[in-house]
Amino acid sequence: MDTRARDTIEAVLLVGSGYGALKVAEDMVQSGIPVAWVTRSPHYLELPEGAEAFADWPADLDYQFRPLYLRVTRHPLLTALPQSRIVSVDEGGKNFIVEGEQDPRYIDYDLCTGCGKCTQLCPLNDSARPPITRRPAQCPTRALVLDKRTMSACRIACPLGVNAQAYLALTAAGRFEEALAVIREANPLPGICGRVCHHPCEAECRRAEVEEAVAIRDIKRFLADCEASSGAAPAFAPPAQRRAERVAVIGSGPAGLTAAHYLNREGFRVTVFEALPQAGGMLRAGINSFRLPRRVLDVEIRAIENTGVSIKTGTTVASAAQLLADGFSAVLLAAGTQADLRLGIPGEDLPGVNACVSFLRAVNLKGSAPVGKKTIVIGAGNSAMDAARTALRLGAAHVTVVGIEQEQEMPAHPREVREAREEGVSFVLGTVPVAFEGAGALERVVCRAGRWQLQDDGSQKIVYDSGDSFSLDADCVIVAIGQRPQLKECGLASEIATGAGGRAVVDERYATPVAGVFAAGDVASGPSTVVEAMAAGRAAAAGIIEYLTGQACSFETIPPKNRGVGEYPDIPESLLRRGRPGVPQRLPRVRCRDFDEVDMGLGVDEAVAEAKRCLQCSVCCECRICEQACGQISAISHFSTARRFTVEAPAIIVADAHELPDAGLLEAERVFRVADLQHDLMDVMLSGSAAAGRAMVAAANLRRPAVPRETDVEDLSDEVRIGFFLCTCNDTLAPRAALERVRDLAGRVSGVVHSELLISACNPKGSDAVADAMRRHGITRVVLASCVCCPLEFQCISCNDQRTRARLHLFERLGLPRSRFETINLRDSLLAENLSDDEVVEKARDLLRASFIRARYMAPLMQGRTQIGKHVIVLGGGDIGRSCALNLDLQGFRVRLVHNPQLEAGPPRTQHHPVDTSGGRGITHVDSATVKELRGRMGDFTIHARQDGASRRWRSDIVCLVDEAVLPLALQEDTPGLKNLYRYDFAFFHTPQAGLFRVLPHTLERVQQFEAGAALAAQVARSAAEAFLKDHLISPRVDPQRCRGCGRCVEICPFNAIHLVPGLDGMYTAEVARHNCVGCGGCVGRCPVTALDMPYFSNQLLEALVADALGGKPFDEAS
Amino acid sequence: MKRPNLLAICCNWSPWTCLNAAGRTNTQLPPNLRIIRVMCIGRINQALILKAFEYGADGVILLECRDEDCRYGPGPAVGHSNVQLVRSLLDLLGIDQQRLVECRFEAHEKDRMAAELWAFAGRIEAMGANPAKPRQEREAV
Repeated sequence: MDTRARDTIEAVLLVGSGYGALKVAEDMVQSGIPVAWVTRSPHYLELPEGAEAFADWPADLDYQFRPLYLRVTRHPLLTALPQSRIVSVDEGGKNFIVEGEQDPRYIDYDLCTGCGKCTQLCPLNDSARPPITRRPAQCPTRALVLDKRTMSACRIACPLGVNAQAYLALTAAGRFEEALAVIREANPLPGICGRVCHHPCEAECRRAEVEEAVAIRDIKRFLADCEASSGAAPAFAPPAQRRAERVAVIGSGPAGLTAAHYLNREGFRVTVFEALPQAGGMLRAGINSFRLPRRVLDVEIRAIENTGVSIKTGTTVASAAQLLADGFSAVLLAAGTQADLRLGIPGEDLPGVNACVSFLRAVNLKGSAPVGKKTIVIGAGNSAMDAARTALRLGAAHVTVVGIEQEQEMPAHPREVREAREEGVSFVLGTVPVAFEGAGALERVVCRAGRWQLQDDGSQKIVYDSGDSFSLDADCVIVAIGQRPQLKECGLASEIATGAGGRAVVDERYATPVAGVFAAGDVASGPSTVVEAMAAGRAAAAGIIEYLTGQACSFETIPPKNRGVGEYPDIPESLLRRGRPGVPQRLPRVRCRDFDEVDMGLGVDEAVAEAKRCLQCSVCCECRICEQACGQISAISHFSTARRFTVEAPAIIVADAHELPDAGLLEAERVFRVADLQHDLMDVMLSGSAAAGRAMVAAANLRRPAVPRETDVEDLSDEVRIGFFLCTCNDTLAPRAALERVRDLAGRVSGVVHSELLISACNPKGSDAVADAMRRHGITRVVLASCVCCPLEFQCISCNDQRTRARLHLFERLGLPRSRFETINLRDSLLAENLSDDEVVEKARDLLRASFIRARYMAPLMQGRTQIGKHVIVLGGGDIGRSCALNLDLQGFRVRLVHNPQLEAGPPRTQHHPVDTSGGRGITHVDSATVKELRGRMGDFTIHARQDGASRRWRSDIVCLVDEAVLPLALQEDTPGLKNLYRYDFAFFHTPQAGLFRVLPHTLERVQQFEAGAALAAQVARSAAEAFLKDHLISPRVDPQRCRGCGRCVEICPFNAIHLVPGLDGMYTAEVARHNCVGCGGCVGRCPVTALDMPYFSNQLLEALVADALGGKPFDEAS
Repeated sequence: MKRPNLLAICCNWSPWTCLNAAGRTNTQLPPNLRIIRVMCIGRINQALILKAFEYGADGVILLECRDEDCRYGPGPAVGHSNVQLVRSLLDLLGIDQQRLVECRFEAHEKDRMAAELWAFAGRIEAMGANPAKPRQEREAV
């Protein structure tokens, strides 16, 4: 199974999907030649037009292709590379060197049980484009496929990488708690950011192409409010492991808090030092309560404190070196920009001239600050708007914002400007203050008209439009033109390097030149936004973790560019335009009287409706709830990456030329083409076989004999110690309580020594549990209740990949004895909807009765082998016979080619094929011969013939009937019982008897003779080059004492598997040729005297089943 | 009063698919019907059918594939010939031939199967107990 993991593969390369490709793959791998199968499609068969599920197929197609598909795709010689592309083909050397790439596979095909739990929990499952699907539905595998496109633009735009798409998806599904958890994973301050974030995500929102961006920030706020109103306190999981190292963080603003949170989450002991009496930094001192209520701030800071972060307020740090000396392993400086920039104009020291940060700090921490009747705010940024609106609330009669910029250029968010204006703030724009004047106190601001001008060096310079000046009356001015760090004032500047504007100098990992000292946030970057400061804090935490542990740390596991396959889906044409909802706000004239919050936030219905506007750009929103649903099955990984592979191929078979990087390759030697569909599927399959036959010649040296595992005949006379295992299919089969009752019932059956629930029988963990329990409890018989219907090495029309896989794990990987397993398919019966627990138990009890009886009547399933040699007789010449013989000769077979065979009583020949002995040195040519008899079986045929008057006896392992004259040697298709047998193999080349092949005239109507010969050779190689015929003990036994040689069994066997042979006293007795027998038991049923029996499914067992059914008590009450 | 003992012998292929479909949709079947599954109805010999009556069956129904659907070939033909032969023996034993029936289904015919099984149960109930059973058992029915 693990051929999938290899990265350089020596194999024949098969390109493209479809029926022809499937046939190629089958012929190649069954003949022992490894195949690397590359196709862009996710599955190997596209369904016929109009069919959405395998169940929609015509039944005969399903019957034929389902087993074929399973047999091939799980064959050990096949390297399956779906969703792959060929990047380059080097034709230079002995082999083609093919480089390719496989898309990331987010759901592991080898692990997925198809339980569907993930789809039930996926928030987008009911959307128009569910990300997790079965494609095609009910394909022979139940495994699911995850559609994950390029990462959504909103998430990439967010400095923190908050997964907006996921929390919108969850909100749209009404799952608010999970949505909030998604935010908290990347952003520990959702309530704060839901109010004050400048939401760069919304700027990138693709919904704006239709009407307006989704109100992402408002939904974030809604989610945080929703939690708050429910009374639940926000909580983070405590760190899994505590570490010894202590880290000091200077500053409790957004950068400091975020860094502290992520350091603490990784187990470090974090102490945050805050100079102000309360934590929060600029969040508290710089942002007003009417935008960010204090309770929101307090709750979210407390949540971080509650996970173990210690915050020491009122503590000014003057030296990072001292902190290191005090035992901190690292120090993060996140002190922000606390000092106001000065205008540097005359009169700036007059009483009444205030600076913005100190003004806001006084209001926010002390509750008040002096304002005048006529207050002028200088500056046009967000802080200026805050200051202006605060001044209004403090009682200023007139507040005017004076800014150099014009309306459209103001750095403040338009919404802030609008709200300020609504509250009565007036604006004087394009205006530069040049002096403050007043006698002892401020009386007016002298201004000139001006604007910014960009200089050649990229800096901005003020230019004046005229020499005129004018003045604005004011008794209070608040200067809000920017901030700078306060490192010099607190003494830290002497320790670390400072650069432009007094900012800390750091490298790309936020380290300062002083070992162990890091700096992040505004102190290093200059004034920025809350979310940018938080992102810097988190990145600095990663830098500190790397510094302290020596191991790479990144809170983003894979860079966005590597994530997802394919572009965003187009915006659906059926989409209805619908604008975003306005946020309810208190009236301007009311709200400007107090410091209560202005915005009211969205209601539940509005938030859900708004979240539904999200286009879900990357299809899978990556909320990762499916990973939790998958649980121990662990089949889902959102972080899978594309895989590169190299195939060294002696030959290439092309089933779909569109999948080649260069169509010119088709002209190269050793490149074979499967023809396109012409009349029906049979053409394609024939063409596939022909291509396979020709490629086998080129790849003959890769052939490996597929030797089956040989097992001894199990001795089942040992003590009956039954182990019962019930697959829960990842807890989706039925309510656990009901299955536990079934387990306990089974545990009470006599002979049962162990009874267990499995997570899943087809997952390696499940099969390991079975093997382990067998060892520990000395279990000699297993009753496995799952979806697996039989323990045989066989796929039938009801099989699927999970059933096949369970058996591969149990019997091939772990080597457990098949003969000791009774498997019962409970899944189909227990999956019914609305079953009560009692009904589940009753149904299971009913179905398990027979299994526990069978466990007592087990018989050995021998797995032996019969060696098949390399001698082939081809009866019939012409192009087809010669083509077949030459091909087989090149593959290393010993071929006897009879050019003109005929049967003794057959019609006279009409056409003579000349003997052409050119080519094929190993071929023994016979011009003409009369075949008298063909007998034997695959691996041991004998032909009696007359050649040139002499009697001949030719031995052969395989016989091909190529000439019409000898076709009667094969069983005819209209043999009773064979008429409509659903075995596509019979359609061309195959006969009901293994090892005997034929070419029918109607086969030759489809392909040219040369191709037919190659296709026939492929079939021969397939059955012979496996070298060993798998040899099961499921055929009947004859009791010679009872058999009276009536021959009824011979009459009904369509497989030539039972014959009458003369016995000792002249009576004939039936004898079973087990190589031909398919084990149907028809002869056993037909025998009027019960002289035949099948050990594996014996008459005794059947009688016990009947007796139990008609008189038995339920198994758990019997005995 | 005890209900008659009914036994269905079910082929693993089309008829079992019907039963599975019935199970998935929770279709009700006669509660006194016991079902045993065999690989192919051709596997059942005459002796086993007779044994069923010996063990107290009041009615036996063979659930088979159609001739052309048999995965092996000879199954339904063998089943049919066994039913004919056992029926003539039942006649000799004084058991009504109608107590042994065969019925053929395609894989999608779950509803018809349920209907046939209920009809079969009704017919046997009307016939009463299998007269070949010991008197005490007969009277219990």
